[in-house]
Amino acid sequence: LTSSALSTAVLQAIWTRHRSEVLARLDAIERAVASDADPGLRADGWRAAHQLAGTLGTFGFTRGTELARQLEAHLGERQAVPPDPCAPDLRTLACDLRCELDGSA
Amino acid sequence: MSPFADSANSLIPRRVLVVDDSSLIREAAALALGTIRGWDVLTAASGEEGLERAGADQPDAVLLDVVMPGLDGIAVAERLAHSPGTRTIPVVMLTAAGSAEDRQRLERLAVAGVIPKPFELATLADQLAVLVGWDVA
Repeated sequence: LTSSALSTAVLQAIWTRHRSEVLARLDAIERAVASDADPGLRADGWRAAHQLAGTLGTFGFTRGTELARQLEAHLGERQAVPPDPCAPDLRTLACDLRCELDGSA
Repeated sequence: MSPFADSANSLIPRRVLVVDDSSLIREAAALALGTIRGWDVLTAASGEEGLERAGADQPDAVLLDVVMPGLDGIAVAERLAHSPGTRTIPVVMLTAAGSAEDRQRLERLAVAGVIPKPFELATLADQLAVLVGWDVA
């Protein structure tokens, strides 16, 4: 086995083994999005999005990384702001992120 | 020593402490630095545990996440730098950018360098080696 083939196989095993951690972070993001005005949930959601933004790319999820970054940016604002009609809806971003990661085990 | 380790890179054994609250990142870093590169990898799941392990195990370098619950990576780096038992251990921060406040705090830190997240498995060990001044074989 080359080290790159080894890495791919082992990375897949690591991903599968720690999938529950990823799902827990997705849940935290979805709770934050559903209760946008709750500062505690929002902070938890920001941390979860930040974690995923820094993790998913290592496991090959390029689009997932981008979605997590957008969620991190929105949830990191000091307070909920009036929706920008040009910005993607937070619920849509969270839903897209779950779709990206669902079935990835 | 891992059977997958490159022998040229294994001549100088290195011990690296990875501090990150994500088990995914700890295992991925252990794969990149340990299984592939052949270094001895220690891990800690929190800032507090990282401080304890750095003092007790005296790693050759610490790879430290910035955003963690409890004691964050910046606070850990500051404490490592001010403790007589750990002040000479080079610290490299792992960060997915974080808040503007975190970025300002990072700029004031006397660390060996910063590696952006997400990182590439294939290059993590070389990035770390360059930042701390180890030979890259």
